[in-house]
Amino acid sequence: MNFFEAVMQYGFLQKALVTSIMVGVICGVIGCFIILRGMALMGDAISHAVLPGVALSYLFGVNFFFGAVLTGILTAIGIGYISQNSKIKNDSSIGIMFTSAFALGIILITILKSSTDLYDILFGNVLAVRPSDMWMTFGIGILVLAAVYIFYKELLVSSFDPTMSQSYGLPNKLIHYFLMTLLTMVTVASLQTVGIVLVVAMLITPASTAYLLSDRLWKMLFIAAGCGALSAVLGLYISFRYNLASGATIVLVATVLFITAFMFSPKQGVVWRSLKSRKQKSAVNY
Amino acid sequence: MTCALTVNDLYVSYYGNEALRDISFSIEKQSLVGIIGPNGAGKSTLLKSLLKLIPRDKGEVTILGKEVEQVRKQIAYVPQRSNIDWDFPISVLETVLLGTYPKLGVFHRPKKRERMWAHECLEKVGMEPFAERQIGELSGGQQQRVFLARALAQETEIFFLDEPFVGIDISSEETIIQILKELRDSGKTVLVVHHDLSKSDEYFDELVLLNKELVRYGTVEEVMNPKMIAQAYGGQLSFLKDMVVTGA
Repeated sequence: MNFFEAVMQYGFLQKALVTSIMVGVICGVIGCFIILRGMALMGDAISHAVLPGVALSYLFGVNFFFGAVLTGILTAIGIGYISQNSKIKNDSSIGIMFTSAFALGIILITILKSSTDLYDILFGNVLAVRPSDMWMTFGIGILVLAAVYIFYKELLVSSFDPTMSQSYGLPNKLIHYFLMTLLTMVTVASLQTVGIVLVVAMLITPASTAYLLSDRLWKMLFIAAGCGALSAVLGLYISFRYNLASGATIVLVATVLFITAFMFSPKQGVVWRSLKSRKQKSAVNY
Repeated sequence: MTCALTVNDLYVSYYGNEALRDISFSIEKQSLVGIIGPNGAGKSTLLKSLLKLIPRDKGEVTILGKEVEQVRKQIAYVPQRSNIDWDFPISVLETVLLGTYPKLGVFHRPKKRERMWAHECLEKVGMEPFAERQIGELSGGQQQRVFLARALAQETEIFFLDEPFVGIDISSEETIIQILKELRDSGKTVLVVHHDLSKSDEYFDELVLLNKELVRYGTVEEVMNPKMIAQAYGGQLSFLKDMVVTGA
């Protein structure tokens, strides 16, 4: 049976496909702001920091969305607090906070649940997506896209020139934590598709591909969303066809797209650039 | 008549190190003022602390007779060129459009009117033909002119510029100073952090001479005398010699 027949036939595969496309899109969009603000490591940190929240949600019997957002934001605040109130550099502060949150999460999960659950949370299991998960991802997706649409102006100016936005009175810190909240929500939505460990790839890789291919923010957002969605579809297809781990396959497809852009992007591609410089050299030497 | 800017007893520190102490002066409206002083004198720090971009330890500052929070939309600030990410995916026109954001408020987008205005501002600085370029494709002087266009787009009463003439070509420098003088003539107040003593007398009406404390504030003639400069610049004597020769 080929992939398309299987998608038509099996509900779980449809849900997997819809969910991963949505995850690809929102990770790509939020990822653009993450890389433009130089916060790639922060993306990694927040994604790991949701783990204790997921565990606590099990404990209290609430939807894991709430716990995850809570510990994600608390970690973001903790990171900011340490780097602003000591000489510890931002990247060290990130390293300290997220690993401790992650360690705490592992202990909590292994106490409360089985190791299979831990494995699924860490590496994703898109084929086990339930309808409720799909709708949650969908809801988060709509919310995140709407937020980016509504606050596009503010996100643009505070990412590009934070001094200017501060000087005319935009609350830069609030915008930062708002973005961290969106980032946490995106991470939660991605848990089942690619898992905590690989979310950062979906945030950074499609956005970086788009960065190489565009010279306007809005174009970058669309290209990143497109790359994310394409990686999701192709990755799911390949993982189905060759029976590979779905999250990891999606990530590798995203990487292949990035490498292609890195080599062949019209303005930045290393291939064109080396061809051009060789031409230049031979013209000079002739 | 209220002053454009009054500073009273201002103290600022970085991580416990005193950066500025006991600064007091006031600037009348409609003046073009240079802030000069040796490296590390706290020139940029002064500008930033006036805008509360960095915290003040002590002191009162009023801008147009009010606290800075109440007049933020009346102030345009042009940061140092080195603080900008020139690879950012944004065009020249979009950069100037940022200048229309403060008055648009949160839920409004720049429309045709704002775009026309941005084009007009670009025209004033001679950068209109480059409107669709990505900002990293421009030379340093062109980038600085685009940022001046953005400040013009803000339509403010006061302009703060941090080292606008560093690393730019002569013709851009002339364009920029010409526009700043026009702004002053139309009643605006312009403060410029400037690193180079040699042209200060041609460019500005008044000077704030700074070396962690206020050495002197006054007209160009009052400030640009060898004694004052020596007091501010101390050991940097090569500067002083040039100054005496050209000033004589």
